[in-house]
Amino acid sequence: MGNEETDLFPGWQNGDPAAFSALVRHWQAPIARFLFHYVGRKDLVQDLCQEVFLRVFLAAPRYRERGELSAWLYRIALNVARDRARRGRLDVTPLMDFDIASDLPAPGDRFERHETSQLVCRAVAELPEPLRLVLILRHYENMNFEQMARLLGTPASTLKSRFTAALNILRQRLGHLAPDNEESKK
Amino acid sequence: MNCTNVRERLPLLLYKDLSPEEIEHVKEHLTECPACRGDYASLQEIQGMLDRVSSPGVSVSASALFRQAVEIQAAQSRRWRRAAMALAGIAAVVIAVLVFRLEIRLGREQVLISWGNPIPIPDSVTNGKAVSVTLTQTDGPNPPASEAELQPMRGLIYALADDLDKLSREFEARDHRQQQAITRLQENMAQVRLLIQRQLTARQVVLDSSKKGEDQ
Repeated sequence: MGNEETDLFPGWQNGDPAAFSALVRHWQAPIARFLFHYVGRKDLVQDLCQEVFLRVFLAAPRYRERGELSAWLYRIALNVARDRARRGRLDVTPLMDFDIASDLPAPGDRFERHETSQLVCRAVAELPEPLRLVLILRHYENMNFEQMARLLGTPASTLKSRFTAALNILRQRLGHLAPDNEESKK
Repeated sequence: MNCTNVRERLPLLLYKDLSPEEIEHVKEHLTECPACRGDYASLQEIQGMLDRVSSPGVSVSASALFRQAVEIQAAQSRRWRRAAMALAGIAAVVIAVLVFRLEIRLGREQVLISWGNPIPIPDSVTNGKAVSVTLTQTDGPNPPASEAELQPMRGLIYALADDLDKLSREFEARDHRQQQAITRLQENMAQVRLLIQRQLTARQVVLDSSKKGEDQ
């Protein structure tokens, strides 16, 4: 946790609106990214994010500072996403419009990359939940396996196996999209 | 390290999650094994594809969030208050039943409320027009409602009906008497009015005749 967050800590926990707004500004992008890759639907992210920070606000007095704010926030985000999935409002199969990275060269390439991006998102969304979760936390949230183990309550060795399995599944499903794939076969 | 062991570690090599010793072993194998090298290259491609997917931007509305939080807290407070009141009500009923031995029985035609030590229910009595008792302190087991118990209530109702009839007749008679008095008063007033008119007429005649006498 950075100094900025530490400084804000007493304020937002005591319900100071300015401190809480600062916390939201700091964390909304990482939480949105996590939720987007977890649920695989762009249209739900804003709503889910709002719910996550509402729960954070309501639960703030109960939070005990142990330098694990990020783990606490990701746990809340995960619970929100799982609750929504339990209520049957998450259908990850139909993909929405996905943004692709901004460094797009030509329109033709842009279309291709858009297609690729959609396929990658679909492949991630279709991974079994435990594998998907580990992949997202490692690749997009840059968490190491020890942090993940504390967050999920699962041994790091198990998480490493899941991560390997997730990447191998993606390699099988998306390998044909790799530009060098044809060359390597030759 | 054989190919199987290396392939298990390739994702971890890619994300720098291996120990320096393991990295050395895996890299050594990769220089010698084109198949594992190909697998590693395809994993790097997957990593690149994952990187190219960007997430949507969001903007959480803090003000909407505060409003929602206030509404939720108010709703929770209302729920707690209702629950507390319900519990207090239940506690009161339990105390009434256990401490005062309150008993309420619903019959077909009566509600019986009793409390205190169990004694036989005294027979309700209709004494002339007196009201029979259904809310009573009893010390005995409460028998179910029977024809004998309903009798006093019937007596009470009949007595009340008689009273109503009598009162109604009395009111009618009083109205009649008042009407007669008003009629008589009106007749008397008419007679007085006639008498005054006659007196005025006679006085006028007298005045007229005296005036004529003076003129002559």
